Amino acid sequence: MIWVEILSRHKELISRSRHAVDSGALSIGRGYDNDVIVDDACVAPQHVLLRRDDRGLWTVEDCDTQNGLFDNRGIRHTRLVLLNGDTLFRIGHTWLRVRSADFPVAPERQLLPPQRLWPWLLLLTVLVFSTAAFEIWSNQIGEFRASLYLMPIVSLLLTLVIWISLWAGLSRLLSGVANFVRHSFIALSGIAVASLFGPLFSWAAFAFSARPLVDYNFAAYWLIFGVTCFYHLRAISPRLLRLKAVIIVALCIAAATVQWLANDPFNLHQGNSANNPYLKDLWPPATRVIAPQAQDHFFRNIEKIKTDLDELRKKEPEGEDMFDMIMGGDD
Amino acid sequence: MAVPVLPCFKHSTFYLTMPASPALRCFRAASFGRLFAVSAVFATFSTIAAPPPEAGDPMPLPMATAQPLSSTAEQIFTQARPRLLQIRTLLIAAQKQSSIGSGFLVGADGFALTNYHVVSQYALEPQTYQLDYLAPDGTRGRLQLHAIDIANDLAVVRLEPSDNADGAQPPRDHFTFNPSAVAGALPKGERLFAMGNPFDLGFTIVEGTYNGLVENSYQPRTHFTGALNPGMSGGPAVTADNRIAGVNVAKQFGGDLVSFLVPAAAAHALVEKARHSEAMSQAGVREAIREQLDAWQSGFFAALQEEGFRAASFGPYRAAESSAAWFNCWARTNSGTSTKLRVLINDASCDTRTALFLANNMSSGQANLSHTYMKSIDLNVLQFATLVSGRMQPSLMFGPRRRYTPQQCYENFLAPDDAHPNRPVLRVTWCARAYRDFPGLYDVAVAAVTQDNSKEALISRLSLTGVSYPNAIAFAERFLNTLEVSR
Repeated sequence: MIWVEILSRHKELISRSRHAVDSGALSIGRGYDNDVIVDDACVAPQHVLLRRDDRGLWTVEDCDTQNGLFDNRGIRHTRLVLLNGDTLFRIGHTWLRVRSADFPVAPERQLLPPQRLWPWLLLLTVLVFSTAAFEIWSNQIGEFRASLYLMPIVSLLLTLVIWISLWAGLSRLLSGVANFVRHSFIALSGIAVASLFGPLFSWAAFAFSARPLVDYNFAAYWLIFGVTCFYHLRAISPRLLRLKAVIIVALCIAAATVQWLANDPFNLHQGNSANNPYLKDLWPPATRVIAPQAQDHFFRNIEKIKTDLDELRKKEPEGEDMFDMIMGGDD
Repeated sequence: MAVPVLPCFKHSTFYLTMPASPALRCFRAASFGRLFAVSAVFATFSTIAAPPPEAGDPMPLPMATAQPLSSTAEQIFTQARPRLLQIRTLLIAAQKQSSIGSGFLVGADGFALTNYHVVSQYALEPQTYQLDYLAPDGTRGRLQLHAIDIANDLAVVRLEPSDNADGAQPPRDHFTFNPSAVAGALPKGERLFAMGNPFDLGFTIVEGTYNGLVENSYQPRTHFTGALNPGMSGGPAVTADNRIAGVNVAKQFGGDLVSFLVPAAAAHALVEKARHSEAMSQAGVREAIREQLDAWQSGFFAALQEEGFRAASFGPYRAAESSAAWFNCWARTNSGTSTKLRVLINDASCDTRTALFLANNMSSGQANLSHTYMKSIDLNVLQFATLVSGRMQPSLMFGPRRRYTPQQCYENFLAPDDAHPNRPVLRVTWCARAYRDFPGLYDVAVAAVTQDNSKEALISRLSLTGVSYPNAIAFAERFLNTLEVSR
């Protein structure tokens, strides 16, 4: 007994498209007198004949059709020998393969217990929104107003809903399952990591006088964004993971570069960008970790600024002058 | 003529308040107001200005109806009229005026006196601008620049000899200086007459009162109570005997008739110095400005050190304030502004009133010290840190890029040491920029915030414009070293 399997255009097995045939020769075509019927307008009423040759291999023969018979590489044949159960051939738009009853299949996979994501989802939601509320609270130096909290939290909520719906919709479209819970879990994890990293970076920059943490924190955000997207894609389909990873890495690097370049022209015109003030956020003084600078060292660095300025003075200013743009060049 | 004054407000706001911190700007607007230079800019008032009178047209005499009070003014004006000039800066490419001011003849050989700020565009960029005069009789011609005095905002120009007179100029009617004004001995209340061409409306004479020198000003300025208006800059202010008592220069924005003159002594000195001088080149002008500014700031900082500092208390903190009388100080608190106050904020800010005009959108020679004390009432440590962060950002130095280099900053935490054991840990940000045209001179802004307490802090700011780097460092060091905390 052999199985003739009709595959999708993506060469994937479509359910209920497997036909058991129990004869030494059989015909495939669109007509109802065939052993295997293929519903494809580009397939002839009787398209190919399948029979076993002397060596016991199955061969396909084109029945002199207009659209012909093609192998996996797109080469037309009048007669094609099917070496094993993985050899594909195409008639019209339809891919087919033939497997005998003794075709070996992979051993069974271990059944994983159903993952209970709901408790995690709840925990993450609480974490994300309480972090957001905490951040607003720690910045709230005026009187309490509900809108101060509601506005950002509602917009965060909306963003999340839109983001998760997009991925779930894409998932439903491509793999047939929305997987809403899993996508929610991934999105919330991403936001949770990002919202913990923000204050952590800001504090570390303060505590350790670590300027790069402020200057390049956008790279970390793009990394978190990329990893989140990767997990979303993996949830849609675990195939081609390496290709997906490469695409995401490339896109994130491109985005981070664009952001870096967008900031850079400003810095170029501002002279040495490393000489711009960086610490926007101070933290409670008790949380500083490294020792403050000694006075002579501090003033030595200030002397260096003079050297930089004297160098800058020799360079002609370039580009549009913001001042003239705002003030109308009145000089 | 209330409306035409307004366009000049926008223009001059920047000129005088540019290096001040944003907080201070509101501060001064509310409590002190601003000085501004009495020069008019074409673009901002062209819709109001009358077209320049044609040559030969009779000038309408203001105050033609003779009243007992005005008879002196009428005589003075009639006598002074041939000695007056309107000074125009023309954009060469367009042959249209870019700014106008006034001037007056001080020598038979065609030397005239005006304000530096009236000729500044031509002085710094003679390839873009030309300097012309228009006399009340309609004659016009070019002017050459012979001497400048940045500190006193003065310039000596000379009428270029006309072509038909083969170099020799006919002796010109001119003003002389009032000796007692030069000696600074005019009595307060003396009647003065200021002349000039406000808003290009024609030459006018204004009566006013001499009110001595402005008190507590580092740079001597005569306080003149009379209506000076844009366009009258550089015009003469004379005593009843028609002799120079000062040069119109500025007025107080928001004041009524509060105007300022350059004292006669400075004007007289510059005229004497320029009497036998050659016309200045562009490089010569820049070098002169650089030298004068450098000398001025040396003198200013030496005087500042000499006057000394006094400690001012802010909660547990002590910080330095200058003892010099020419620092004008203001204080402000938020206490009592709300019943649900979450933090107490006390501001104290001192600055020198005067600024030296260098170019449009470029003034110099200012010093500003301010202290903001903050104490949490019910803010927690994180909220208090947010508040401090918002208020400690270095003030953005704004200005045309062809005049200044980009600002460069250094920031770090400064430790107390053996020499200054009572100084708390400070977060200090130092920002500076250099003047492109005048090597060796810088604008510097320093912001220091105390880091010894999570619910109480002092932010001290220092801003200096047109200062040499060593002077800035010395001053800043003194400023930072006197910050102390007692607990």
